[in-house]
Order: sequence, then structure tokens, then C-alpha cells
Amino acid sequence: MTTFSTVALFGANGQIGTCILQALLGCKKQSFEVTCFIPPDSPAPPSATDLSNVHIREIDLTKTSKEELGKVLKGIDVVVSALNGPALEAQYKIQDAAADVGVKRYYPSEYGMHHIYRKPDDPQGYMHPVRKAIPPAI
Amino acid sequence: MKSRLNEHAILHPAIESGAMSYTVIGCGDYYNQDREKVWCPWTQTDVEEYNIHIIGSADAKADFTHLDDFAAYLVASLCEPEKSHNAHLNFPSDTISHAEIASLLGRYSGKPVHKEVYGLEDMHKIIADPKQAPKELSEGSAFPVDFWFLVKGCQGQDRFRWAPGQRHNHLFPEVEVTTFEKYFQKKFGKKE
Repeated sequence: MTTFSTVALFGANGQIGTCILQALLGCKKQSFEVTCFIPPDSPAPPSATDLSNVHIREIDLTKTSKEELGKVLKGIDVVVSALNGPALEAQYKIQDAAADVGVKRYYPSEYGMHHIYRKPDDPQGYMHPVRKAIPPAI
Repeated sequence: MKSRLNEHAILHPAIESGAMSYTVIGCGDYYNQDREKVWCPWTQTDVEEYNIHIIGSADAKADFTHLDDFAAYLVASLCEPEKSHNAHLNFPSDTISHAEIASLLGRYSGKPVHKEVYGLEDMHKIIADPKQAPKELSEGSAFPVDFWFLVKGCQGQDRFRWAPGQRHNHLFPEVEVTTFEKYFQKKFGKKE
């Protein structure tokens, strides 16, 4: 039977990441060793203070290589991404790095619902987010 | 962007080879974001009255998720990895219309609740040109206003719901859901 006990949480001090960390630390079924990845010079998640099973790593995902990420992901069972905005692009190298060092499970930052926007009198659907250049859906 | 990233994630060579597995969790609209005065007006307490902004039908039901419920669900999926192995799971806390939310909010807060309903034509107009959005909607949110119109418009079109078979709450029954009524009871006190 598979058991996951070490978790890397990216975006741990964001709105969603903070909630996930609280739930990990409050889990009654088992305990987790959590490595929290947050941007440099940003506040640590409130629930992470002075806990021996929580490790904070400040990391600039735009400047960190896949190899460097691999080094800090060694021994991790699960990567959970709670990234948002421009940081989402880093998920490519996070997953590549995780795969290189044998991470067993990957949770991409989804946590929502995809909405197809349909314009009046237009047979195509459009995926969110709506920006100046809207890519057509399937 | 998330759609593209998810596609890449689940088709990754490590997933294909079986060395790594994935879990994708979908949710409803997060309804307890205290920072979002426009998206979640009911989170505010320092107000005399509430304005709920609706696009399309106020009676259309939509899926909503409480942030803490979602986090508990994600952790439950970690505790039982077999159930979440290479899985796309969806987890709403409540399926409810804005008219029902307004009614519950009025009942539990004891304050007037106004429903400001926009037509779907407003959604199309704002998505085409976000600058035309009312100031009260375009300010005070971490999200772009056109995205707000898109999501609320889908809700008001009765399209913001997972279909039966697409909801996976049952996989982790120990995760209790916080419905709007439970949320309001906790926030404002229970009313019989």
C-alpha cells in the first residue's frame, strides 16, 4: 500500500496554499513533513511558524533551474502546486525536476472549473481567462 | 493557461511511464474569499446592507466550494493515494442559486440584501471591452473584471455546475462540506 508522507507545497503562502498547509498540518489520519516553497522576501505562512515538520524554502522560480529544483525535491513523495499568475509557467520545470528525482505524485494547480465563453452568433467557444488574444477552444 | 498546463502535466512522460501519477482537483467558485468584496460580498461584516451582483438568472444553480473544504479534500486524497491515482476529481461544497444565497444571507445576517442583476448582453459587452465595466466591479478584486463577468455569466446561464458523475465528494466521505447555510450559521449565529 502506497503512503505519502513528504509533501512539497509550491505557493504555500498564497490564498489556496495557506489553506492546504493548514489542512496538511491538521490531518488526523497521518502526519506530513511539508516543505513550503514561497517567493523570496515574502511572509511565511502563518501556520508554519516554529513547527519541526515544516520547512520553508524561499525560491525565485523564474531564476531557479530544473537541476536546482531537483536537488531540493529529493526525498519528496508528492508535489502540490498552488501557484497562480505568472508563476504558473514554472510548473513545467517543477514537474520535470520532480520526475528526475523520483517524486511519486503531482498535483498541478487547478482547483477551479474551466468555463467556455460563447459569443452571440459565434459557433466557437473560447477558454478563460479572457484576454486580448483569446485562444479558441476545441 | 491552466488548461494548457494540466494537459501538459497529465501527458508528461513520467506519468505515461508510471513513474509518477497525477491528481487534478476541480472545484466550484470559492465563496469564502474574505478579500473579495465583489465576488464574495457575503464575507463582509462591516456593512449596513449587502449587494449581490448577478449576471443572467438569479435562480440558476451553480457549484461553490469553501476553501477549507477543498483543502481537507486534497489532504484526504493524499491519505488514500489509490483513490486519487491518475484521477481528475471535482469537489463542490454546495450547489445553490444566487437567489437562494441572498435569501439565506438576509435571514442569517438580519440585514437588507439587494440583488443587482445584469443581463447577458452586459457580459458580452464587458468581455469585449473590460474598460466599460462599472467601477465598483472593476476595483477591489485580485481578478480581472472580464474574468468575473465570464464566471458570473456562466453561473447565470446555469452552466457552472458539475454534472452527476463528475462530482467526486463520495470518494472521501469523511470530508464534511460547508454549505452556504452552515457558513452563514457560523458567521452570523444560528437562526431557527
